[in-house]
Amino acid sequence: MNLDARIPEGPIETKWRAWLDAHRLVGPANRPKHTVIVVGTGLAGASCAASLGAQGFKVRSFCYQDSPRRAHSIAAQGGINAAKDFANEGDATRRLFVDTIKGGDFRSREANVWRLAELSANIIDQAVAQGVPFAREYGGQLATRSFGGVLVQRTFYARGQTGQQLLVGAYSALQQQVNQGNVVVHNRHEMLDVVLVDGEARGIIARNLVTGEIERHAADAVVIASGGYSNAFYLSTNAMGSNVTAAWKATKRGALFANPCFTQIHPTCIPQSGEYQSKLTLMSESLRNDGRVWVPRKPQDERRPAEIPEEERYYFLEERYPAFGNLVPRDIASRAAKIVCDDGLGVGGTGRGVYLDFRDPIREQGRDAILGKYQNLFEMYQRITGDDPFETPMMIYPAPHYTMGGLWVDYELQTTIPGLFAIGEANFSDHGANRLGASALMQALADGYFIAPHTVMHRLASSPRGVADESHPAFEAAEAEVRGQIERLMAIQGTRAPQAIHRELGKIMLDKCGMLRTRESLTEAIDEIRAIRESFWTDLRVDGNTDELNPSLEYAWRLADFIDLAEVMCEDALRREESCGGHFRGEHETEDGEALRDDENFAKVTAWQFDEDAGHDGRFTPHDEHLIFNEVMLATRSYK
Amino acid sequence: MNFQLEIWRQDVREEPGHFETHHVEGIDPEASFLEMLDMLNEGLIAKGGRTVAFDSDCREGICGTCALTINGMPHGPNQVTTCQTYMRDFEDGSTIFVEPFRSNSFPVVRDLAVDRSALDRIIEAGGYVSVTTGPQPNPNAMPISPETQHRAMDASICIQCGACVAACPNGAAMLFTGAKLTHLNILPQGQPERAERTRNMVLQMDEEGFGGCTNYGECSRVCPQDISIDVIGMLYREYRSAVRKKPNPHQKKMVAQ
Amino acid sequence: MATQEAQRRRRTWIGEAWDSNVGKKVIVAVTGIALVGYVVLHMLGNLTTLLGPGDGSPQINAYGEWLRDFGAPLLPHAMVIWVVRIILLVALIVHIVGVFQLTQRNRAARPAGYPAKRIGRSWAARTMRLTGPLLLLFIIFHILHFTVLAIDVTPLREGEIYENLYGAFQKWYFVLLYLAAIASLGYHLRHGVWSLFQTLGLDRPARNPYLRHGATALSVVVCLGFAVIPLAFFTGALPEPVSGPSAHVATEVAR
Ligand SMILES: Cc1cc2nc3c(=O)[nH]c(=O)nc-3n(C[C@H](O)[C@H](O)[C@H](O)COP(=O)(O)OP(=O)(O)OC[C@H]3O[C@@H](n4cnc5c(N)ncnc54)[C@H](O)[C@@H]3O)c2cc1C
Ligand code: HEM
Ligand code: HEM
Ligand code: SF4
Ligand code: F3S
Ligand code: FES
Repeated sequence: MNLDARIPEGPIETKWRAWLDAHRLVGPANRPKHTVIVVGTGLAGASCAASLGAQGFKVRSFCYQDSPRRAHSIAAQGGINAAKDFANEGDATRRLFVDTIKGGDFRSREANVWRLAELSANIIDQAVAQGVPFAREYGGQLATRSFGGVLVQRTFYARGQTGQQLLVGAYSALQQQVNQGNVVVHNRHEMLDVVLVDGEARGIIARNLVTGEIERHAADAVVIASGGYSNAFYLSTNAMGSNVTAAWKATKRGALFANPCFTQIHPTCIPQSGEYQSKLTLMSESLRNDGRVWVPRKPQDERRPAEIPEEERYYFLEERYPAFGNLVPRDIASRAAKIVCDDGLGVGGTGRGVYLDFRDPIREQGRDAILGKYQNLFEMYQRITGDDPFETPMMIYPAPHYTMGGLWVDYELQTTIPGLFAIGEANFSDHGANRLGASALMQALADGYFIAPHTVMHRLASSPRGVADESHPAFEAAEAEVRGQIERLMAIQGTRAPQAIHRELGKIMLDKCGMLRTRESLTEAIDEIRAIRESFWTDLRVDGNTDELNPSLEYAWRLADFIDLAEVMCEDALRREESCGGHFRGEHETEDGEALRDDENFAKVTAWQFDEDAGHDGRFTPHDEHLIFNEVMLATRSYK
Repeated sequence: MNFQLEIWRQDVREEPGHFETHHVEGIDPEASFLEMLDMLNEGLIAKGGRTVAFDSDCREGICGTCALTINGMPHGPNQVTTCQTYMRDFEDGSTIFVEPFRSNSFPVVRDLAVDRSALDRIIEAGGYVSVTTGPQPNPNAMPISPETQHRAMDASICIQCGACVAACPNGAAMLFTGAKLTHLNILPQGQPERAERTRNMVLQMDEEGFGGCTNYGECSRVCPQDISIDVIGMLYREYRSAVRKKPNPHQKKMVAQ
Repeated sequence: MATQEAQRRRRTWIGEAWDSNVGKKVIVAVTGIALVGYVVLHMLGNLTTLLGPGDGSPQINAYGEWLRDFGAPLLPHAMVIWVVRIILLVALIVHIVGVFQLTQRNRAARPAGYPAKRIGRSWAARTMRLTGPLLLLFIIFHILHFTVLAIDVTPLREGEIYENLYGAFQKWYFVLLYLAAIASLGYHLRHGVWSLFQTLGLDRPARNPYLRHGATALSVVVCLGFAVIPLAFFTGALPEPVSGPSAHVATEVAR
């Protein structure tokens, strides 16, 4: 298969402009005749649906939550980047572009990243116009701060609730379009298949989660904005319902899934406290701006942290990475924490934790200054753990958080299936092997507000409209398949709850395909995942009925897809014989334990094709897209 | 820890529900309330029982999905979301009543899950600034004092959970609507539509069958985001002046004497 | 598409306000102001009783007459008081109808047998729907008693307010009844007065403590102001009336 990203010709600065100048339009009078389905109402989905609605298209928007405003984008705390240079540091598109390419360890596509950097400034303008209350300085100007792994202050924020506020903005734009009659929101609906007619996306099959009805929805284009797949690890910072189903169904229909092994483990999460735990909570990375990360030098040190003298504290980030210190990118900070814990220096009940200490900044800046910056985070920490960070250092540990991999898309954010687009965290395009802080919100919104509306319009203008309605045999067949799968799940009637199987899967993934991967661990993992699949399809029990709200059933089909995905995550990690960004292979490290990239062989994207019916070893077929770097010299990342 | 649970069971909206007794044992005090219910459900599956349906998503107190009434209190004993309620907050061996959020505008979907789309429709009626995607003015050309920004933020942190409705003895959605309205009505961006927004959101509130406010203030006491009834005062104030503004597209021409 | 419908549905603003829960409540509050205003003035007026029976022409009688004569000679006798009475009656009716309709809607918004625990609502707020109707019953009784002079258990004479009060408040049951009514009023006002500021959107975080405590203080003052009269008569602090010239003559003298 030829993976052509269809990047426009010309200098990188003008590629997007050139594309816009040449793209095809649908006349305003004709737009209401086109229907677009947008799956997902997170920042990417809501902004895309609202923008398409405002252009005049008929949009059907889907989410599994009871309200579109609850999509998991809501949870983002830290902020959103934009190259606006409000802090007068000479920041500009190129710098943001370079930071993102380097941050992604040279595994992302230059043209896409440039466009992202270029559009970043518009996002802030758009959000402010909607009434998003970003933090302001005394003169009434927007405030910015520095965030996770960069040396400029380009992060805009709204208390510790940036995602929530941005989503409220996008959601309110969506509701406005609902009011205008351009968008219909189908909440509590889950997309269970994409329908292809002559190889092109023409609609979806969705289940009404309240009545259990299997519905057919025809459209002229389908946009998938269903978020990331960190829940393959069971415990992650993602919401309980976050899933890969929509993207995976597209993969089953022939779209390619790119770089599945590129997952990000976030360094500052509250450590796990017990087996029963259902999810992990992220503490914003902004805490690393002041907090100092350390562990006792002595293994199993039983003393209270305050009693441990300065010289017996191992400030491992500051020692190992003097230039960036506690602000090194996430992958580096996470791995460093894992290493010290593997060495037995970890703290907390499970030995899987490191201190994040505010003692020194409190002493230097005063309690009020610290409270002013982190009040809600401190409160949140105290609410969850019962400990007061003013009294005793916080404990943190890395947790699965973001997935750089996703559906393979070209420059137009279109998958290999014509008419099927993927935006936001659901696609793979902009973050390479590691995502920098505050850039996921930026990407989701750039895709949703400023890119997809144009590329989708281009597609609508270039392909015939109304090719198939809901009575087309392709819909009938797809619906029958979905019904078949649901009946199969209901019919197993074993003994195990989906959650129990998921827990088992997550443990394998975290231990063997997590922060540190080896050939051995990955091969083992693949076998174990296959065993889990076996056990899933023979020993699962789904209670309840198919015609009602049935959380166990929802859990089951999402898990089925996670199991398939987990396997290809391991396959991908196994195939990528190098270490880069969040992907760290034990076999490929430098002498002082840093990631060792292999640009010769792996400056490329691996996009996987899935064939469900093939045997164990033929299910996944890799395809490569080679990455070319013209603007940034391939260089080893160094945060030392 | 061990608990006796009295859980509300209801198959569909139309049928009456009832309490069902369950026992859970060996619960870690650090487990959250929802994790305790997960364990109950896992046990029920293993025993061939019917699991209890309830809503949750982020489980970190930010999405507003979780919505249980615990011992008569929306979200539970502490002023935080259900998902941030931990078993350490309950007495070992006690009996706990678990119900859905109650309001006639929030019909029960199944067991503990309710339909809160009425709140979405209030936003649809006017909870936005009518801008469409496209080039926007430089945000620094519209300075907003940090005080105004803070006040807007104090209101806009509402997570649309609906606990205020469930807590209000009148089933009023005033705290929610007040919060949404305050956020937009005090920012410069929200000025052009200020009066229309207010009227439309209030009309929609009535349309959805929410009750009226009698200034009891219980809503604010359960609100996990600690939103002050100041926003209700704002809603009254805005409505009082908005309702008198006649939308008049055909203003009369003025002539000199 | 709520917006356009809302536009179409609009008739007069007062009609729109009355139809909505929020607007109706504002109207209840505005009528509440009129009622509170009357109660306070009435209380102050009543206090002239404390000046005693005088020389057979008690101040309170003069006050009653002054009310009736207000505006003379520009306006006909008793016109102003009738205007005020009509305004008050309308306010009372609107107040009660508004409250009644709101209560109906609030009940409908709430499933039957709501089990929720009540938190933090004040006793006064909770009993508004009890103290209100009690006040209504009292007002009817009270007007029949002292204005229409229909409850003639004790001798009542037109214009002889002091005498009428004296007679009535020698009976313990009247005293108790009035005190009970006053207590209801106090409770009604304790929530009502703060509530009306909130309803009119006049409360603010900075003012809130003053308004709440102010409302409590006002209710206490009103209660004391009213209660002192029956008590003073009953305990004998206020002497028997001196039978003297009619109130009308007394007013002439006062002028
Ligand atoms: C705790 C946390 C903190 C973060 N903090 C930051 C930060 O500070 N800065 C930053 O830049 N990024 C941050 N991120 C990352 C960022 O929030 C996400 O990457 C981004 O919001 C993803 O947006 P999205 O629109 O792609 O997907 P989501 O917001 O996840 O939305 C997914 C949508 O798809 C729907 N959906 C999913 N599957 C289906 C289906 N099968 N059928 C129908 N609908 C479906 C869901 O209902 C939902 O509406 C954070 C992430 C987490 C988890
Ligand atoms: C002397 C007569 C009365 C006075 C001074 C008075 C005053 C008030 C005031 C100031 C309020 C608060 C208004 C608001 O915030 O909206 C109020 C509310 C109320 N009144 Fe009265 N009132 C009187 C008589 C009555 C009567 C006769 C009834 C009942 C039949 C009644 C029932 C109520 C109720 C139930 C409320 C609460 C309404 C609400 O808060 O929504 N009141 N009253
Ligand atoms: C102990 C306390 C009270 C005393 C001594 C008292 C006394 C009187 C008297 C003497 C009158 C007749 C005045 C006249 O005809 O000129 C009167 C009228 C009236 N009182 Fe009172 N009153 C008391 C309490 C109250 C209270 C608590 C209320 C209301 C809640 C009230 C409401 C009225 C009304 C509505 C009238 C009729 C006014 C009119 O005729 O226009 N009174 N009162
Ligand atoms: S105001 Fe508070 S209680 Fe009400 S919906 Fe918003 S967050 Fe929930
Ligand atoms: S509890 Fe209800 S009565 Fe008003 S102040 Fe809150 S909405
Ligand atoms: S589950 Fe999101 S707030 Fe509770």
